Amino acid sequence: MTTIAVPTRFRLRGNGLAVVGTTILVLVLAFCLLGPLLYHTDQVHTDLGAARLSPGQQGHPLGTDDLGYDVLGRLMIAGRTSLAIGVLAGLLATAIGAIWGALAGYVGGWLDAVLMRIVDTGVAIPALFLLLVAATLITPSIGVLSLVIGCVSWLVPARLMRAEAATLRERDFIKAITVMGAGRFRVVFTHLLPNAVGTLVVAGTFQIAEAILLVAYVSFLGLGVPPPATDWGAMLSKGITYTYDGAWWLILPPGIAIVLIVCAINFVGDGLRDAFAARGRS
Amino acid sequence: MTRFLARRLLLALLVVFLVTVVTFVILHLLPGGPARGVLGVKATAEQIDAFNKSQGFDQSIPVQYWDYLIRLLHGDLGASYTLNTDVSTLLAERLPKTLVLTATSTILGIIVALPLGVWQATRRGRAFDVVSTGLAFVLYATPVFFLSLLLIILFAQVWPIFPAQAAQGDTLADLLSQPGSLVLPVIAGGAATAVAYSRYMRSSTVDNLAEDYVRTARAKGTPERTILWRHVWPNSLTSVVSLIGYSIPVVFGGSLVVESMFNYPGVGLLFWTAARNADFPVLLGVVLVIAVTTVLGSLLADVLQLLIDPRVRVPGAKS
Amino acid sequence: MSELASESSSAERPRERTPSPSEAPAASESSDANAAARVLEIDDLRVGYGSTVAVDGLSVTVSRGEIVALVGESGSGKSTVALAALGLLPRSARVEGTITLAGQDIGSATPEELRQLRGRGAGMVFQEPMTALNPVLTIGFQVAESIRNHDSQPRRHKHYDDRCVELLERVGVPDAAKRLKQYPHQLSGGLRQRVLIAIAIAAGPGLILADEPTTALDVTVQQQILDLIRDIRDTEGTGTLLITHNLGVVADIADRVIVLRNGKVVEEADTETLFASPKADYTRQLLAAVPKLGDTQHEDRHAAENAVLQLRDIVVEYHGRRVVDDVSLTVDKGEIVGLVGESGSGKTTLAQCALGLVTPKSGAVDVFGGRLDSKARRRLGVVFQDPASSLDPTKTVAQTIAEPLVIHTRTGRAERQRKVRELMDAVELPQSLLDRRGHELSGGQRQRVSLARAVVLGPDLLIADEPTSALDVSVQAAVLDVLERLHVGFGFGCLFISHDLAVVDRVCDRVAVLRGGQLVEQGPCATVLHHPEHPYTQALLLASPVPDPAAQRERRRPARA
Repeated sequence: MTTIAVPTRFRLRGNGLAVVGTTILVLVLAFCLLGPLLYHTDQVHTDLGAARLSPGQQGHPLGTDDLGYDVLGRLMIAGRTSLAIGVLAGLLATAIGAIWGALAGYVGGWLDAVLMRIVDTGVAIPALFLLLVAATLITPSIGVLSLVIGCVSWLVPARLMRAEAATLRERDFIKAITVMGAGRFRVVFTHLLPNAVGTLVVAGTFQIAEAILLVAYVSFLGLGVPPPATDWGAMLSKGITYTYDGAWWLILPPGIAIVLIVCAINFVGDGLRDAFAARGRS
Repeated sequence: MTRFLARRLLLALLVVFLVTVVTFVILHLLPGGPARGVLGVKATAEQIDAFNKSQGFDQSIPVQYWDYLIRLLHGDLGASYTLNTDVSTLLAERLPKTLVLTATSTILGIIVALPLGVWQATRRGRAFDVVSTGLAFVLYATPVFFLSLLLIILFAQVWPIFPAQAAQGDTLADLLSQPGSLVLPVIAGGAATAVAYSRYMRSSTVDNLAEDYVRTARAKGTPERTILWRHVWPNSLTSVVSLIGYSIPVVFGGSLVVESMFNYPGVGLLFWTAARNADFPVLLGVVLVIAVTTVLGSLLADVLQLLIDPRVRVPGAKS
Repeated sequence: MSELASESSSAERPRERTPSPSEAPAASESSDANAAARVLEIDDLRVGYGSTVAVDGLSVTVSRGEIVALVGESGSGKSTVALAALGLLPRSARVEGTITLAGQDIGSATPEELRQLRGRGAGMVFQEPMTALNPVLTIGFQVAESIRNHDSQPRRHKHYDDRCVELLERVGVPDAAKRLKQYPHQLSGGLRQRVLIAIAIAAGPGLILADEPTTALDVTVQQQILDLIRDIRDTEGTGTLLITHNLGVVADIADRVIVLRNGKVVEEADTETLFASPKADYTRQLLAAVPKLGDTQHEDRHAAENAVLQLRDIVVEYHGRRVVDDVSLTVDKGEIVGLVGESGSGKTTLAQCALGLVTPKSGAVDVFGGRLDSKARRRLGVVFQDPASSLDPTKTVAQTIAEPLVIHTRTGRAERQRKVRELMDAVELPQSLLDRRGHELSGGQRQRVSLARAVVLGPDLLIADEPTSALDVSVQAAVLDVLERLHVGFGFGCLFISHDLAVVDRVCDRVAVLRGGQLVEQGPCATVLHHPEHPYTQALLLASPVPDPAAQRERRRPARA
């Protein structure tokens, strides 16, 4: 009966992080999508004559890599790959997980048991291992990588969605409308899913961040998109060779880009979670 | 309690069984099947037929799976395509090294994380909490390879305190003979664990501090320090322990990268090399062993929870 | 961490306050004695959170051996008072006024003084025995701690075992020595509440602050706990501030009553006076809203013999345990049948059998003489207990009420709107709420919307599972009025599940009493509730306190003797 007020300072901080996250997200998107329109560089043909120039030399603000590509321009097109695969794979994983989890949680019984044991099995095999086995079998491209990453990372959203569906199924409004004659289709699409949207949006956000990291790992281990295309993980991987020569501009920019974007998406996810939790409470 | 344990054990066995199905299926999905892998790309159709016959690959799928299972039970994981040894021999040599690395970094990570989470929870919204939360987000978003790289640049190049490479050698003793070389890999592998657990512990402590039993304890005059460490701590711990099972696969995933970054001769490095050489028996052997270790780890976490949570250990009141 | 147990800041309190009697310079001998007898003195207490005011100028004193009841509906601020008395309000609360506990001013006490007052100055008993004890610590540890906290030379918890056993025996916990090693989840709700009382009196406080101590308990257990509180007062002379919404409990146990509404004192009187001649309008409304046994004249509506619901020899088992044991029950067209019982009696499970949510192990469920198919569901309405989960938070009130129409009919949009508006009038909700969502409504409004949804198709059978249990009495009275009017209008048969015999007496024609899954007694309300035959029904009736101190004394005499 006693309402314990949440200190306002705390709530503001939560929103503040979400605002910071959204701002970074927009800036990074603009950098990757619009950047190449304003800052023209050749990212297809190598120029060994201008290889490994340090930042500022010959009009390359972030220098060039071992093949003479401009690092700043490369950062932009690499970002396109990382973000595209991240978003596609994250959404795919969330979609698979949502359907899988909703079926298990809402239908329950033996179907639940079977579906969740499969999830347990998937969880026992680290995604990265499965991903590398898959990557050796395929020719990587944005589409294929998205598909593969999506298919190995749907377990977390599936578990979340199952828990959500199982809880919702026991809520009185679902029971009442079922008793009064609503069919399964109606219950799932007009009551269950709209109520699970919060969980799904939040899970989807975190899943995109997760997928961006996974692409980076795969490319870092040398199994990413083939050159001249590249992504942040692959850029970093190539840069390592020159660590001992002090070529920091080959390592820090892609590394920081990954940290920045993943951080920003997680801030947004956290903010969304708080917002949905607040909506459910009031 | 015995029922609970029996159930968990049965589930664990089921999951291990399903993992063998997965590895079996992958083996058969390979282009040209296992024969092509062993005999190489230049093998003729006749050679492949002969190989399939000699290995029993011409049998029906269930019979083949049965043979596969029997071989696994005898510890036969096949032979490496490239390294000219048994997969089981390789794993026996490499797995202990990986376990040392992952266990050390996980345990250290948790030891750092738990009190950190409690401190954050009790200083909610203050400078310490805000700064450490921000750092946690950044660290969480840092891929292990980037973190390893930064550690190497900072502590092996700029201030050369620790070696950039793990000690090499065939035995575990060789590896442990230079403990300094383990410092950076352990930090790189344990950071993610520390971040994740400090977040869990923080939110679990915040939730528990709002529970009714805390109000009861306070209303009978219990000092705040006692409330935190005697009342809240064991409660937050029980919910965090249940998560250990989930984090084990993540730790193994991390070790894959850490080992390749620091040239640490464990299962991860073995796997990485195998992936580049398409050495499938090794890849699947590692997957199987990692999965079994993960399942065992989760089982252990469940038992641990059983020991510290009386609600699981002792049956409740009837009604 | 002390910020979580924040103290009221003395800076915000007016510097010059009226001296309390104990500090008055010219205090006479007798007023000194009075002051010594006063264990709690609250003077002009004001508590606010942000812009809302929780308590607005409350003054109350509790003396040794006195039980003072603080009565009010939800939002009246009554729980805030108890927390304020121990300095347990969250830091965000603004506290003004003085609180003197055991002769010490709470506002100016240091954290350590405050800690010592908690438990020794006053012990506290909370509403939810299920969550108020720490789940991972033994009963022995938790009781011992409350002694140890006030021991000047604390020893190991084990050292206090003997005293703990004494305390548990004092509060009527059987096998006390064995309980020390047990955990809260191994004890029933009633036993846990006794343990909490043992914790509250462990340090020998002069005052017990009891915040809804019996609300979560069954009536028969409630009676035992009230007896225990009275007994502690009688033998130890402890004063009690009892916070409750239940006027029956007040009539049973309190010496003096303070009625609170929106944080303000509406009326203060001794118990006899308040119930005999309430002065404030609000008190009168409150008393009138409490359903009383025997107030309703039952006419015989049991005329029609068309059964709309027939349950025959129903048996339900969970994990080999029988929760419903061979129960048969019929609801005829147009009649309201009450199903009463305490927790674990199987009443909700039986209702779920009727609704097809639980499949009985054996026995037959006939709805309108057949199976519960889509055609039957069209003629069935349902209302559940929890207002918080009864409405889909993503749908508007209009969408919620119209949903059965959408499922079962091809009614057009305009016709649906007309129908929804008509029902909003029928359940007495303003049309302005049509576009609101569930979480924007109060508990009473939500249950009205649930009712409207249940009757939108003009059902022949309504199943209502504790539809008003979560509501305040005045809201409950209004919702029951609506239910009765709908019943007259639509003429449905109704299965009405409740734990409150007075509510059942008010609403129902016939009643069935369940205990431990078995049907104990069934028949017209006039017979079963007014002249019960079965000892269990009699015990249940005697245990439900009535809001009339004289009658309550009379009723309790045989029980206490």
